[in-house]
Amino acid sequence: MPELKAQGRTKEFEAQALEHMDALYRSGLRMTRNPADAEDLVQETYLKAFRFHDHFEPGTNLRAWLFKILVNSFINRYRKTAKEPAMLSFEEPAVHDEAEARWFVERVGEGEGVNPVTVPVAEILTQTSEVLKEFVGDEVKAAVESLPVEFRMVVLLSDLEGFSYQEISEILGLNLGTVKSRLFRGRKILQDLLFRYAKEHGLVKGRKP
Amino acid sequence: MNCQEALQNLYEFIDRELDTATESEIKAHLEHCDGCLGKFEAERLFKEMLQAKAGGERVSEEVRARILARIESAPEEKRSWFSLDWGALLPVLLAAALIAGIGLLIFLLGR
Repeated sequence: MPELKAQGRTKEFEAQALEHMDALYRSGLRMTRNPADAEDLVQETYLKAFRFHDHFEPGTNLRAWLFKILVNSFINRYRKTAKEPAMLSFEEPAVHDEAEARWFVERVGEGEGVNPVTVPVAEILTQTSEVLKEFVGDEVKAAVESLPVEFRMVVLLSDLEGFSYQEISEILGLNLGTVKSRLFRGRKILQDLLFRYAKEHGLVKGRKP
Repeated sequence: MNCQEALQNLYEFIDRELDTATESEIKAHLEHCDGCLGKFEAERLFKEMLQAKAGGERVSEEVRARILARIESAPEEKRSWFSLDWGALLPVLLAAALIAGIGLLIFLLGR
């Protein structure tokens, strides 16, 4: 009987773990940028999770635990084989600290040829929403995928999957300060990429003379 | 709280990472500072856009079924064996073969 009980627990654990397949697969896709590799990665993640399921402390965050396995599997598989292509070429915005930051609203203001300081805040935010509305899912996903991997990971975990800084620091094995600074830079690079795209496609007017 | 302090906490604010005291100080600042309000709101809108347009995607039924089948078909033993590092085991296997060979040689010479 205890064996049956243990088996029941295992089945229950496996069922709970499988509920997270959507998140694991889409994140695997953003990491590997390839459906076949994402599928392999998710399979590997589940096999490891089931095999080591007694390492999981019941009552703690199963989703974060699975993501940690996903990330480690990704790093092992793809870092070693140097499959990560060279960074796409774009000028990195100068965002070494908050003082040098260019906030998104400033980009929109410049793009629309208005000065955020003199225009009422409601108006510039309406324009911001208009620009953001133009972005299509595939472009946004492609932009996320083109981020250098260290920035892609934190943006993915925070903005797309909603993990807390503490969870991200545990999943990636980074200290909180590094998580925050990578998140900051990652978001700024992403905004830069998307904003350039918007300009090229005439979604914003571009700087007025 | 001044603008510089508020902006230093911008992302922690929109990510809901701040303690309630700091959070309410920022809210108070934003109520009378349109410059900061624009920056905070635009970053929040950007984050929302990312979530809405690149998050929440679901795996197709076809892919889900394939992944489940592949997990199922990995036998119990395989589940425990596949993670072994065979590269690290190689020297051990070689040593075992060598010892067996020497043993066999001694046995044959002894006859």
